[in-house]
Amino acid sequence: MKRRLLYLTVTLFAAACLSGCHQKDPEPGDIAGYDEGEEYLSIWVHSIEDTEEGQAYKESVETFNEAYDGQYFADIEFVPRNDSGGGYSDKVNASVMAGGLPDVLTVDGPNISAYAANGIIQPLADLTEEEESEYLPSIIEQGTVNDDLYALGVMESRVGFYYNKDIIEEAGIEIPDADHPWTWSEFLDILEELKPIMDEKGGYPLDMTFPVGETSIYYYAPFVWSGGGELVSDDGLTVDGYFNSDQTKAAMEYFRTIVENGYMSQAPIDNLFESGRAAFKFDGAWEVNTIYTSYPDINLGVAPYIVSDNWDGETYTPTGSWAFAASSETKDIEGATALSTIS
Amino acid sequence: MKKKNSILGMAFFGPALVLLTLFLFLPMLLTLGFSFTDYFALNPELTHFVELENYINIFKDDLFVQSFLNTVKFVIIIVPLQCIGALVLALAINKAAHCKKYFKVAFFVPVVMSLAVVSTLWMQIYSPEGILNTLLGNFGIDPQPFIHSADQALPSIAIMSVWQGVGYQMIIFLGGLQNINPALYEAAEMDHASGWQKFKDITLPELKPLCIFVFITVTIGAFRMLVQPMVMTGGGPDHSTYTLVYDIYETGTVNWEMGLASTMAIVFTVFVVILTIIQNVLTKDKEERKHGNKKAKAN
Repeated sequence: MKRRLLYLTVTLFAAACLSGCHQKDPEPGDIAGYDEGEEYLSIWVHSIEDTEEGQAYKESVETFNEAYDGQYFADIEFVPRNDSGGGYSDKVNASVMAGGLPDVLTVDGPNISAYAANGIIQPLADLTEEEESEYLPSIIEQGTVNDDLYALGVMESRVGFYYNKDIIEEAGIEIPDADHPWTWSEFLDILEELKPIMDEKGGYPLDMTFPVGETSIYYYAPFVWSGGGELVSDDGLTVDGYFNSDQTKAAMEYFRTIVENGYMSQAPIDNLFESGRAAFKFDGAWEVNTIYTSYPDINLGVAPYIVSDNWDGETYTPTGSWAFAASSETKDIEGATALSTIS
Repeated sequence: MKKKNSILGMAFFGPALVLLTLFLFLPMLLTLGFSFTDYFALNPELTHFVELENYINIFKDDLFVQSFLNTVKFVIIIVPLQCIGALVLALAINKAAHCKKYFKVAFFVPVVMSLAVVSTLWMQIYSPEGILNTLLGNFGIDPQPFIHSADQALPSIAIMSVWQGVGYQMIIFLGGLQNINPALYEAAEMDHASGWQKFKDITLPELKPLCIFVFITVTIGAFRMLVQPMVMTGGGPDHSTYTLVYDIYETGTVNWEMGLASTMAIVFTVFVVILTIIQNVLTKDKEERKHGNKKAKAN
């Protein structure tokens, strides 16, 4: 009797393990709001529900469901990213190999071409002129591969050249307007002026960190570009002659000059700018929010990005961010496109 | 009766064996298979059988060779420090008259902290305005870049790793020390043996099996160094802390080149297995030689 009970338990346990492996699309009625006759669309986003970004995605999807009530039902799944970018990309990679990609997923700007070239995402259904005009040209460019539009950016991003208004005023420096940004040589002079003042404060004139990973390229590519240099060839396949060109070298040597003259610290110091011990900082657009919420004492200003001495007057700025794309597994491209245009 | 027991045993062991096969043995075989292909994870349909091409190519890759050398450097620093450190700590605590429990816990706590948490913590300790540099400043030493310098990053991470892991081996040694028959020490006392002689002729031989175990496990653990460089330096500066497992991860998961990564994993495994065998042979040899001498003396 005891043995039979044991066998039953073992069998049930094994069955329970295996049933966990089976994935099924939910039926109408399983989820609140999912009614009969509606088509099920799944969407993955790369953040957790608790952040402001996650809440924004949730609201957008709810708006979509209201607008398309009776036609489509979008089910959002939050997949967090960890620090080194894994987590979300691991799940996508696994789904590429094993199947199970959602109808719509968020793709980071740099990955759009790779995903498109390997058939992970498919071109979106055609948008009307009006719909397309709602997006910045840079977003359309980011999402276009070989003349097909694959992804629509959720947001745009940029890098700011921030300064501490109080310190600049104290030093008597005038911030230039957008049409006449400082050149490299001019900036070096400014830093030299600031050095004694910042030494007294126990800081540095410039808070410029080179973080590990994609961030350094993102922040500082304009240095290379405004000097006429390039990082890679146009088709992205050659670096020799581009990354080691004289102009790109000049940009790297400029960074080195800044460090050697002591205008910035060799090793990154946390919160140097935020604690009022640096006059300038390069950072993403999110820095504004950080200062306003956590460091309200800092009087924040934004200056035009530094350009090289041989600047040709063009605009060079890093852009790019996460975008909605339709996966190759989606059966209804019209529905997926409609879902990708939510904002 | 025996049959009933064996069926019962299988019933308990069965599910674990199934899961182990599915999630350990099968993937190992798959990795071996993939290592002979050019499996590109983003587009599995393009896979071709390339035989030994991967094996030849990885050794031509500067980055793989460097990651291999870095890993060896880590092992060379970590293994002696951690093994000897653990032994010293165990001996000290064993002799301590008061607060034994406190010290045991204090040294063991880092072991239970997650690797990522410890790495983040030490990033602060090593930072230019962190505790360590402030301490050094009191002695008049300039602030050191530590993990931000290509020369200092690897030793910095190695030492932090030793700090975290030493408590575990210390507990093992403590257990071993407490198992040594005190009569041996009393006999040595009667022969007026010095402290060093007691250590050399009683403690060490009695601890021999544990020493071998600790030596081998610390070595294998050090070869698998991944989390600390990934969190603290991203493999830099200038790839000075880029380890083998990190290279496997980057190649397979970030660059999607699963075929190449599988090859690296196989090479890594074979290397560690060979090293373990060598370690076993070297340490066993001494034991057999000693026993051989003792037998000869007895005769």
